[in-house]
Amino acid sequence: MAGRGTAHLRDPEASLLRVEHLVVEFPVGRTGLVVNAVSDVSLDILEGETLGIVGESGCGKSTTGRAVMQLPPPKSGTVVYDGMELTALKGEALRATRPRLQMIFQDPISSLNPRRTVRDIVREGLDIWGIGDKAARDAKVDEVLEAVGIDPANAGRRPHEFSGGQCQRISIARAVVTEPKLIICDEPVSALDVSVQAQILNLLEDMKARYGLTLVFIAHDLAVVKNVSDRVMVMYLGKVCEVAAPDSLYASPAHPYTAALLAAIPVPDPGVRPDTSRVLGGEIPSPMAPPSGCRFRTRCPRAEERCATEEPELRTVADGQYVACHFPLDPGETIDFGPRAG
Amino acid sequence: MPEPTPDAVPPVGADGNRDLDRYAEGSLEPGLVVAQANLYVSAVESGGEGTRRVGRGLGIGAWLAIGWLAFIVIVAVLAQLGVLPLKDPNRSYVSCARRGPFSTDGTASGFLLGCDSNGRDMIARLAYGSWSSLIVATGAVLFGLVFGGTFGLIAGYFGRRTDAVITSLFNVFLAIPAVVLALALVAFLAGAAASTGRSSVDPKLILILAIGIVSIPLLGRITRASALSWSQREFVLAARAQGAKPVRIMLREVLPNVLPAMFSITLLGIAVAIVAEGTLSILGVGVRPPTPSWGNIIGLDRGRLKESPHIIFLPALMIFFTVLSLNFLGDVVRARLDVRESAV
Amino acid sequence: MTVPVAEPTAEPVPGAPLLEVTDLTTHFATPGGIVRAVDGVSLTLERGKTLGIVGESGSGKTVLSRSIMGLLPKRGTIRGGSVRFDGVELMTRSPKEMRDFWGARMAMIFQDPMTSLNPVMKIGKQITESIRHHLDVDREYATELAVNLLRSVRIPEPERRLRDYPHQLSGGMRQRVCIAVALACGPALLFADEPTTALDVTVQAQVLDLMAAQQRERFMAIVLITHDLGVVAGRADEIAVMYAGRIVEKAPTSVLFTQTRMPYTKALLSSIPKLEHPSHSRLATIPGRPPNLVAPPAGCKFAPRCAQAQPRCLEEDPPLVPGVVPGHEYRCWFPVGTPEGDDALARNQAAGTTAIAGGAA
Ligand SMILES: Nc1ncnc2c1ncn2[C@@H]1O[C@H](COP(=O)(O)OP(=O)(O)O)[C@@H](O)[C@H]1O
Ligand SMILES: Nc1ncnc2c1ncn2[C@@H]1O[C@H](COP(=O)(O)OP(=O)(O)O)[C@@H](O)[C@H]1O
Ligand code: SF4
Ligand SMILES: [Mg+2]
Ligand SMILES: [Mg+2]
Repeated sequence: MAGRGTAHLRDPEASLLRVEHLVVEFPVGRTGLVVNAVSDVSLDILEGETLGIVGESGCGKSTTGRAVMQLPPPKSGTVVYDGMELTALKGEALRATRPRLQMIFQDPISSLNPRRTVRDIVREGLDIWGIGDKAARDAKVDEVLEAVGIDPANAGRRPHEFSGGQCQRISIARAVVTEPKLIICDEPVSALDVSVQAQILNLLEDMKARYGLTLVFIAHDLAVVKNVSDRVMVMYLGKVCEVAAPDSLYASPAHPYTAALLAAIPVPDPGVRPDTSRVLGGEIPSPMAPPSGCRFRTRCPRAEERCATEEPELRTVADGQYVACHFPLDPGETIDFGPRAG
Repeated sequence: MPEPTPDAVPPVGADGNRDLDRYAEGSLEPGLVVAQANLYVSAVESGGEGTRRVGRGLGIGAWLAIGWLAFIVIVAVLAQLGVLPLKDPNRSYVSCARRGPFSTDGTASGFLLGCDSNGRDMIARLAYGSWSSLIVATGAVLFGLVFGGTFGLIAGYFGRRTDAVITSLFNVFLAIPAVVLALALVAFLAGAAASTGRSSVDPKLILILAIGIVSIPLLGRITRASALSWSQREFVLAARAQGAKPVRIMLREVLPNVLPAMFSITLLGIAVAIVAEGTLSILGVGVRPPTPSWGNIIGLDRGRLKESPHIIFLPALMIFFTVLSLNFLGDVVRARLDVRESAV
Repeated sequence: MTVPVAEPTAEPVPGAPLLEVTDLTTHFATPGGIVRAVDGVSLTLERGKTLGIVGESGSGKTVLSRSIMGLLPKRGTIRGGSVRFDGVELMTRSPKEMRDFWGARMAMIFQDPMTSLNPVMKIGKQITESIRHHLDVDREYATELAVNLLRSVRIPEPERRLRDYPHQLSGGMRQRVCIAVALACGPALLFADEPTTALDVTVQAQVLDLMAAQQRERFMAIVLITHDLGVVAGRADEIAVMYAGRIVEKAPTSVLFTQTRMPYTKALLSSIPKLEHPSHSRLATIPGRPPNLVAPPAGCKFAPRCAQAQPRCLEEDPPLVPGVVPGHEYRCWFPVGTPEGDDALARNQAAGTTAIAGGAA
């Protein structure tokens, strides 16, 4: 599944963000080894769209998001945002793009400075860029706080006086205050209760409509991603497995890994007994020495010799559905991961 | 500290779990968590301690320490202002030389704590000496904090190569024995002052610089460690994503979070610096007589330990209690700030 | 792979349930007042069964489980009610006496495996020390047991893993080690406090399957605590929904889902994003936040957030009443799926408001 390729990319003119052949590696100490965090990933987003990225932790979702922001810049590949090649920008020129490209993080506690007030935190973007005078900034802060459902009267408080869900609202307010076009949401609801998660998901939809946003939505929960996305990209060990519209992904997953992810989602229905045979076994291999060929082959029941020698390329299996697998599932087909020996 | 008191009411919501897990964490110190059963016992038994730490009361020890420090500071300042009814610390009452404390042989003039070998009143010398000792120690640590803190903040925030360079510089300095380095610096600075025709430079200033320079790597390393961990928080990344420049991030995002650690280390640092001033003075390169300091009172009469021990012990006791109080208070401050941070 | 269970875990007292909690209260004295973290909880659990406890963060799930085990700090904690384990009253026992129960007969796994593993001790040592604390066995035998345990929690190459430190393992592996430590002495009751909340869905499924397999093999009772109804739906025999320190609905699993009576349970259920719904479908949410546990509202604790709350809900605290199916209990004046409830909901919807917004208070 470890797949590469650009078959799923659309008209460059129409896309707000277009990433091609993105590679990010992290050196491991002085061992000379590298973590292959993201290996040849391509993606694109049309204006107003939401792209969902799913995959187990460690598969390179956050690294992809941060590489788009050039934090840190990727080792190779191109990132074209709104007609600008971000990887070619340096220093001030790169900094100038910041207010238009924002990010929201997973940990609502860690992503807010405990020693600053909520007003200061949200106003920071306006202060940095000197947008408006003081009164205009405070008015803007009040407006976005109102929009995310935080009473501006409480803006003088510090983050620890708010619950996790409220902190995430504050993070959203901070991200939209400079009126960016694109927001990269890195697992914004993973740390929240289901009831709060629903509030934040709804809020993101509202903010998208209100501020005309385009979103990259990263999560490890397919059900959540499906709810907010127009297009979903499934990742595994730094590679793209499958790209499709959420409804077709759910109805007929083509990649064995997508099928495994779907089967693992707990269903809130006691009639559906968890099916042990459909649980993916084994552990994710080390990103320092990823398997040859398809990176999923070590855990894939369909793997054959070809999977070890030849890396699958993304190709279309149905209208708008792209998969990087030599032996994709046919619509309606299920896959048995079998009882695994220790 | 610019820190709101934690909610009187424990916050409901996503944070609920954290309180409790902290409880467990606090008690799950390495070594305690042997077997699960032991683990549970430790969780329960250390619970009392956990509550104490969270509680508001400072404890009698901390109040004693604060009391002593306040006393010393007030005495030092008032003595320096000359408003205390003290004898002249430099006037010799030859007949009283080496008289012991509370001695009754015709003490009409009242040398309650006796006199030194030159017949100078010990009380007056100790009181005036407090000023020199405290000003040198505090000044040195503040000097060290400004420079060590700046370097530490830069190293911790930028990491990578910057960190490697600064940290190895610190390590080089730390490898030189502190006293030797301080002695060398005093000699060098005094020489430099003399050669530029400023021989009237207050020797205290030279001491402040010398001890301050020695303390830079120590204070710098602690700032660096704290800055390093705070710089990895996502709010720092968020600030970078908003286009904040490094200096702004260091000053607004990282520094306020590092300050508590710096504050508690300041107290410990002053304690170390008092001892350092004492050591240098005993070696004869400290505060220059006749100006008294706790260190040079000992230094002047260091040969007389047997015949008049009070001349040595009284200033030594001052150093002892002050250092003890500072260390104790430093620990209390750190423990309380740790708890606050976990509540944040 | 069977693991030798080295000690008879419990003498079966015929008829006595394994765990019987009656009217348990756990309050904390804080500077801000008394926090009613657990406020009158009763439940029973039979051997070999799984009880799911569900509720939002702060609803008292963790405090409840630790209070049952007697794991809370003494100071500042006010406990009342009764906890009978295997017919033995635990409330009156000192931590020292509880030592014989912890680990050996009741064990616990936590959300963050790192909290209960010692970061500077090899995992082999952590498991064998636990075994040797309770069983009088030599080191070799304890090591052998440890290897078997690791194998039974499906850790590959267990002999090699014994020499690893916790940080060398992935999150899922660490949680499995915690399960191995918890199972080491063959407890009759296992508390799992959000054991998979920090894990990926695929790993979550592995860990939950593992717990279920171990449960069958050992005839162990499990209290599975989670905030995700999906996690307990297919795995618990019975589910208790907690809100503001109380059980607001308890029922056999299928009954809870098919005959939901408590508006809170219904709201929790409908806030889960469902795979079969088309994307961009708006999720139902629960407005507001859970109540302040120092000064909870007078009537139904859920009333300020409830879609069908009526003036009565704000004044009178609904008692836990039995439903039609045996074992079903709920706390609500206007239960979902009953004429009164439907009526209340219709009235609120027609008025476009709830009791609280309608100014009944
Ligand atoms: N700063 C870093 N230094 C070294 N390795 C990193 C760093 N950031 C991420 N990684 C590694 O890169 C891989 C991908 O990480 P990440 O993008 O965070 O995954 P995800 O967000 O999907 O959980 C992981 O193996 C992770 O350990
Ligand atoms: N030691 C304590 N002192 C005061 N309040 C506490 C303590 N432990 C937990 N609480 C409070 O009790 C409530 C229940 O917490 P908890 O059981 O952790 O909830 P859950 O596990 O359901 O998320 C929370 O409001 C929490 O703040
Ligand atoms: S209907 Fe009334 S009693 Fe029932 S949950 Fe709602 S507020 Fe509580
Ligand atoms: Mg991530
Ligand atoms: Mg909990």
